[in-house]
Amino acid sequence: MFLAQSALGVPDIAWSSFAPELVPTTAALVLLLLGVAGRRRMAVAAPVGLAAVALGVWLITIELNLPGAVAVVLGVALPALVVAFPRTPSLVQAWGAGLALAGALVLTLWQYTAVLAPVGEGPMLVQNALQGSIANDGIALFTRLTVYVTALLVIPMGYGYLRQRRIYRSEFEPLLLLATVGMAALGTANDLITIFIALEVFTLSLYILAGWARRDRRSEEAGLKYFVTSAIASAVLLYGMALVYVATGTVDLPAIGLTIGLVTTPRSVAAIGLALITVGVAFKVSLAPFHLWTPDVYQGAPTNITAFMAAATKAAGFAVILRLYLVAFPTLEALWVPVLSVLAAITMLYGAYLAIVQRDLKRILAYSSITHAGYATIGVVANSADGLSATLWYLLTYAIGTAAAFGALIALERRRQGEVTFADLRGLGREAPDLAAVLALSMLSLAGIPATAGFVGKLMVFRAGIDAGLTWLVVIGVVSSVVAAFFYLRIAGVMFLEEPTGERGRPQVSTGLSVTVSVSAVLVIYLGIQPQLFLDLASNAAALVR
Amino acid sequence: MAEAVSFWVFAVLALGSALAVVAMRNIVHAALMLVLNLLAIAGLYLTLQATFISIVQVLVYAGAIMVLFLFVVMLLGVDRDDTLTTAPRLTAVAVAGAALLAVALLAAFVGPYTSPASVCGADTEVAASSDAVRCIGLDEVYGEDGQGGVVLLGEQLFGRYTFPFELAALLLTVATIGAVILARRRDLDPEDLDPEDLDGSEPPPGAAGLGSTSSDALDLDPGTAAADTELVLDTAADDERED
Repeated sequence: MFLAQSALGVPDIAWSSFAPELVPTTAALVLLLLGVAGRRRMAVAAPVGLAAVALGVWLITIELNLPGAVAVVLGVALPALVVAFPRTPSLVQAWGAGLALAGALVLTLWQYTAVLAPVGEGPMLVQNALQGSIANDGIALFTRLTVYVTALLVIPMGYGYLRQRRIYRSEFEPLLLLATVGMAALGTANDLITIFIALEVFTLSLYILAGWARRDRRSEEAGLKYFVTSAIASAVLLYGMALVYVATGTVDLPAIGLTIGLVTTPRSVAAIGLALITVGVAFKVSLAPFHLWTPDVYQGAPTNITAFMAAATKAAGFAVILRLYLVAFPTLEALWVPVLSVLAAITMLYGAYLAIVQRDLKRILAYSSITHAGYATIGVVANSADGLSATLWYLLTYAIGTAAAFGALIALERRRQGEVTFADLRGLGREAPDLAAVLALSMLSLAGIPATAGFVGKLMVFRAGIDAGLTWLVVIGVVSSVVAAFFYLRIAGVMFLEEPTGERGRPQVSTGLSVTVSVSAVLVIYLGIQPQLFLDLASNAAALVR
Repeated sequence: MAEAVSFWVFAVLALGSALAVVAMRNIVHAALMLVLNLLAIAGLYLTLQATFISIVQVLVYAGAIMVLFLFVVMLLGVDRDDTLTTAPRLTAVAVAGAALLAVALLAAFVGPYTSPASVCGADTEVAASSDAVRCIGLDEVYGEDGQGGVVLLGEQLFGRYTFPFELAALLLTVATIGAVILARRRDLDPEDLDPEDLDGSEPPPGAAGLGSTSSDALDLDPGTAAADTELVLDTAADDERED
C-alpha cells in the first residue's frame, strides 16, 4: 500500500562512469564460476562468452565502439582460453584475469579521451555521476591507471611463484580482481558511505590474500595481524565519518566541504571527526606512528601479494586521503595541514632509519614503502593543484618501481625457498646480470636517482612542498632521501661489487616473471627520461569534483 | 513526560551495562551485559521514533552478532578467565584514552547542541537565517511515511545510494570467498597440478604463456625438487611451513 503512495523512480545509472570497474568485476565472478565448474568449464565459458559478444555488438550498434570491442574480445577470449588450456585451468584463470585488467585499462583510457577530455588539450572535465556517489576526475583517473597497471604486473609475476610454493588456488585471481575493483572504486568514491564500503571491499580481500599461504606460520600471522589492526582502523575511521555526518548532516564530500565552513556547523564535532578519520586513513597507508603492522604483514604475505599491497594499496589510500582533505575539509586546513606534516616528517625519518638496520629484503622494502608514504604526504599537505598532481604522479612511479623490486625478489626467493637476505645478493650481478640490473634499477628509482621515474616523482613532490611554503618538511624529505639512498645503493652495491659466497642455484625466472619485470624496468626508465606525456596528464588531471 | 522517563531509564541502563561490560571478569557475563547494552540502545532509538532502526538493532546486534560472540566465547572455553587480565599500564592507557575521547565528545556536543544559540536550540532565528541543513524533526523527514522511515530508507537505498548498495554485494562476495577458504581444512591442489609437476615429465601442451609451467617444473635444481616431492608425499605436512 505504501508503494502506491510514493512512486519510486528508477535511479539513473550512468554506466560509463564506472565502466572500467565492470570488466574486472564480471571477470572475477566468471572466473569463480569456472573454478567451481571443474571439468565442465565449457558449459560456463560458452554462454558467458556468447552473452559478452552479444553485449559488445549491441554497444557497437549504439556507437560505443571501444567498450563494444572490449566486450567482444573478452567474450571470444574466454571460450578460446578454455579450449587452449584444456589441462591447465589455472592458466585460463591467469590469462582471463590479465585480459580483464587490460580491458579495464582500455576502458579507463576510453573514459578519459571520450568523456573527460574530449577536446584533447586543456584541463579535463570532471564528471559527477550516480547521484554524487562517484566523481570521475584526476584522482579517479590516476588511481585506476596505477591500480590496474599494478594488478596487471602482479598476476603474471606471481603465477609461477604461487604454483611453486604450492599455494595456488583458483580463488586467487577472482580475489585479486575484486581487491582491484575495490581500490578503483575507492579512487572514484565521492561520499563517505561509498568510501567506506570500497575500502572494506579491498581490505577484506587483502586479509585473505595476506594469509594465503596457510601452511606458512608467517603468512598466517600476517593475515591475522593485518585483519586485527586494519579492522580497528576501519572502526576508528567509521566513527570519524559518523561524527562528520553529525556535524554537517551530509555524507557527500563536496557538500561537507561547503557545510563545514558555515557558522551553524559545530566545528568541534567536525574537528574530532577529522582527527579520527586522520587516524584511520594514516593506518591504511601506514604513516608513522600507525605503521607498526606494515613490516610484519609485508614480510609474511606471499611476495607477489606484498607487491600488490605495497604498490596498489598506497595508490588507493592516498586517493581517499586527497579527496577527503582537499574536497571535504579544505576549510579546516589550519587543523590538518600541521598534523599531517608532522606525521609525514616522522614517517620519512623513522622509516628510513629503521630500513637501514633490517636484514630481510622484504622488511627493507616494507620500511621503504613506509618512507614513501611520507613523501607522498608532502604533496597532500601542499594543498594545491600542483601538490595534487605531484602526489598522483608520485604514486604511479612508486607503484611501478616497487612492483619491479618485488618481482626481482620473487625470483630470488624461489631459489632460496625462504627469506632473502644480503648474503643472497652477493655476486648476483655476475650470476644473473639481467635480474640484478632490474633490481638495481628499481632501487635507483625508489632512491630517486636522476633518469629514473622516482627522481621525477620526488622532484615534483618536493617542488610542490616548497611552493606551499613547507620548506622545513622538504628539508626533512631530502635528509630522509639521503638516508634511504644508503640502503638502496647498498643493495645495488652488494650485487655488483661483492663476490658470491657458497654454492647456490640460479634464480628462477619464469616467463611471466621475466616479462613483467622487464616491462616495469622499461616503464621506470621511460617515465624517468620521457615523463612529459604523463606529467601533462597529471597536471591536466589536477581537477576535482568539488 | 513518558518520553523523558523512558529516555532516563534506557540511558541509565545503557551506561551501566556498558561499564559492566568492561568491568566484569567473567567473559560470558560481559557478553550478556553487552546484550543488555544493545537492547537499551534499541530502546533509545525507540524514544527517538526510529522504530525501524530499533528493530534492526535488536535483530542484528542483540540477535545475530551476539549469538556469534557467545559461540566464539564458548568455543574458546569459558573457564580460562586469566585471558582477561591485562597489564595495569595498558589499562591506564586505555582508561586515559577513553576519558580523553569522552571529554572531547562531551565538549563538542553538549555545548553547541544544547545552548540556546545552537541550530536546534531555542534561538530559531539563527537556524532560519542560514542555508545549513535545517534542524527538522523526524516527522518532517519521514513526510507522509508513517512506517518509521522504512519507505524513506528504501527510497534512499535504491535511489541515491544505488552504487554503494551494489558495492556492498561485492563486499559480501569477498567475505563469502574468504570464509570458504579459511574454513577449508586442507588446501586442495588445483587439478592441473597433480601429475605433471611431480615427476617432471612433459608439461601439458600449450602450457607456455604467462608464467610457464615448463620452466617451473624443469628449472628446479635437484635439491629443491627432492625437498618438494618429499613434502608432498608427507601427508601430515599441514602444520609445517611448505618451504
